[in-house]
Amino acid sequence: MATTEVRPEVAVGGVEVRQPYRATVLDWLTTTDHKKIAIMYFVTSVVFLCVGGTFAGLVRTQLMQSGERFMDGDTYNQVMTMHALVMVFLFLMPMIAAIGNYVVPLQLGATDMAFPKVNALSFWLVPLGGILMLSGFLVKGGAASVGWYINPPLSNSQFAPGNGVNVALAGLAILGASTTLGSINFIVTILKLRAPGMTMMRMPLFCWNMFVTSLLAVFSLPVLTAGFAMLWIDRNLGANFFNPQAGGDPILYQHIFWFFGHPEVYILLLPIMGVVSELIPVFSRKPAFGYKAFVFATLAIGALGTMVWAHHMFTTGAINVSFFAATSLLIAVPTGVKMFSWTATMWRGKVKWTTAMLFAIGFLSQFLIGGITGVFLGSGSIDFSVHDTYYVVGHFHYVLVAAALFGVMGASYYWFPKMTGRLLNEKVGKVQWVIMFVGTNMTFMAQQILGIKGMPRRIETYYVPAWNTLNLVSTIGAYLIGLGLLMWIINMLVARKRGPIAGDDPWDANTLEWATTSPPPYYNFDALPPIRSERPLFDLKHPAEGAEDAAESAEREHAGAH
Amino acid sequence: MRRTASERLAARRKFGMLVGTIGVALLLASCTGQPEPATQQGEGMHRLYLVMWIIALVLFVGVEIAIWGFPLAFRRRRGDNELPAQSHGNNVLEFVWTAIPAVIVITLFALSWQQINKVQAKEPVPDREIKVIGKQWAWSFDYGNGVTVVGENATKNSAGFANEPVPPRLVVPVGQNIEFKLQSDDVIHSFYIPATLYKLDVVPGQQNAFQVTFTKTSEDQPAHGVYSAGAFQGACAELCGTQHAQMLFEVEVVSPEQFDTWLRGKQAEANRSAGGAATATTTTAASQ
Repeated sequence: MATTEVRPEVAVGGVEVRQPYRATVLDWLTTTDHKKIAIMYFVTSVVFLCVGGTFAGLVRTQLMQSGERFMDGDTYNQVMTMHALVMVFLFLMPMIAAIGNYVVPLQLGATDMAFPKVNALSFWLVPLGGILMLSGFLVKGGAASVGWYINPPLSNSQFAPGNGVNVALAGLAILGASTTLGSINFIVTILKLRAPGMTMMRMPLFCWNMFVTSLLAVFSLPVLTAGFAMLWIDRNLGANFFNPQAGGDPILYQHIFWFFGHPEVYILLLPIMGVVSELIPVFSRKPAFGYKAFVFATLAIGALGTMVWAHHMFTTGAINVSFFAATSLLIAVPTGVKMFSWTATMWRGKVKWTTAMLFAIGFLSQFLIGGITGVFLGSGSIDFSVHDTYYVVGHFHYVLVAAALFGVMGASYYWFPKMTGRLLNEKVGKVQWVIMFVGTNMTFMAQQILGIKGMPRRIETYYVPAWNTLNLVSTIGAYLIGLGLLMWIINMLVARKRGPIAGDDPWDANTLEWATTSPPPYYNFDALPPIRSERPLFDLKHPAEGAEDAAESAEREHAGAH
Repeated sequence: MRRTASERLAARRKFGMLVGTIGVALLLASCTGQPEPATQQGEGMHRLYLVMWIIALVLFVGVEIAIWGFPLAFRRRRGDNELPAQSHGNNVLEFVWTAIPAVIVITLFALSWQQINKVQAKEPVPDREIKVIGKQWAWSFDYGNGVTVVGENATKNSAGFANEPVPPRLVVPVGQNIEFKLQSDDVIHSFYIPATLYKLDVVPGQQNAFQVTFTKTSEDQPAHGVYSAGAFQGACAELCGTQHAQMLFEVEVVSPEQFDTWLRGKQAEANRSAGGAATATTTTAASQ
């Protein structure tokens, strides 16, 4: 009884620490603690989600009916461009950094990231880059209005003379530096700071996914930053890298952009797959089915993900369609392996239908649609008809909203208790899930159908009344998603102060972050359990179940060490 | 009033079936959504689309049943604190479910590869060449010999909103192999006729061209908003600036005889204007 009355934030060590307000602010501003940095990443990301979500609402309001007169073409293009840039670079990327920062050192049994000061720098670059990028709305000519690929010649100084593109490029370069630094930090942390006994093949699947994501980011982001630098020089110093009128090549820019742009999809998605790979075994009360296959599938997706970029350019007439169709289709194989592993993990389990699990299942259900529609696009031939239509918009929103955002929700319901010591409201979570599930499917299925019918993407309005109904469905769905997100934010704000006390291990989980208090002390662990599998905490709680494995792997380790 | 366990189960099943039916209905709707192909090349693409669609539907239904069925069937009962059997994997099963998608994607690739080659194939000498010029923000079509169809530039009203566009009409004969040569002198556009199930970007500094053979005329096409009756829709598919959405055109596919008549008329018109005023440029009014 006594323990439940202690406020979790002061429960650490049983000593109540009260700081004056100024000291608290200073503490957050100067912290290098990965958990506090993660929380700052999280809050920043949610703030930008609200910004990007507002832009999405404006876009959908404009497109509710044909010939809508809500925003003029230029305003629409600015809002549409900034919606994409904010959601990709200021919501999802920092959100992944948030989850990774919080969870990776804890799952590895480490005290912090490998480079805590670099970690703080990575974070503080995000609001800087974000504010710079959004400041485009204040400069003459408005924000960048050229679409998030910032394709020249449309984005060069002749056709986009304003400063909006310049500040967007500068902001993106800063955000690129942030992610590159953060990724190096994750790679070193994962390679060097694993607890004694945690071999790579005993590492939680979330860490594996963060590892491959970080490799992809280090591999592809510098290329993008170089491309942005070239475009910036083109715009401001007249270098003509991409100017066809002076012998430059706009297609070269597209290669550079998509060389980053496609791995970026996996940079965003792999950590979410990692989240789901944590949730499903925990709530099915079974180990992940085929751990090794899962690791190899992750590596294969990472490797193949770097070889498919030109499928974004099938209709440019400048690439070998068949080659990139082949590599693109191949990605379906490791992705399929993951999907089968997830479902097989639930088979003969004892599945607890928590909100977090519901979001994980929602992820599977909707990622399947995003994956299958992706096969149509990747095939090359079908892509000729649906490329640059709302089909593509629907497809990648299925992947990045219906799937990735659901994964983010699952992660928040799962790890929020660890971060704050308090549980989120499960009932509100389930209602939120229903609203968002209905909303995402209305929004993005309608968009896919519109695309197949031939509605081009990135149009500020359309003149075909036959498309009205589906667009209205899509808009209502988008509002529902917004409502769901609002419920999520309110749920967190309320639960932070008033939620039920979580305790160390509310989900009966498997990995090390649940072996310490909620929230953990700044040094993370008093002591670590022995690590004999990818589920050290499970082995600790069920010595009989894990005995065989543990004995076996201890033997192997012994043999390997000598 | 409390429901018994079996009633609850039945209600859940009903709910599951409802969700499933809605999902399948939505997918079916997306299947029938593809425009009826109007070209030889498009017919092959449409057949491939249907084949892929059926494979996709089977996979979709099967995997969705697993995704929702497994956690429902194997849910934890209240008070059940026993651990389920801790299965770590099964090599044979894992091999099988790696091999099956591999076979499916290789098959799909083989089918898709044929279509890619077909739509990209070109006759050395097409029956007719039409130069398509995309610019901010209008399409024009050059038939050679001074015969052109020039689209009106997109305009805005005093409040800065776009005026309704007047799509220029591209007239082509049915049954002839037509090569579209795409040209842009400003930014990248994309030449998209949904009924051909094909599009190609119009890239400045690059010679893009493709050939199609229309297999049916457009006379039965109803009017759609700014698109008048008797023509297929056409649009720019690549964001090209403020008035991208107004950069529309329409395609009238007519019999070769009608086409020749139309072309002769346009030729006479072009000759008149060329002879009438030597200083006048080649601009003619959009054919409406």
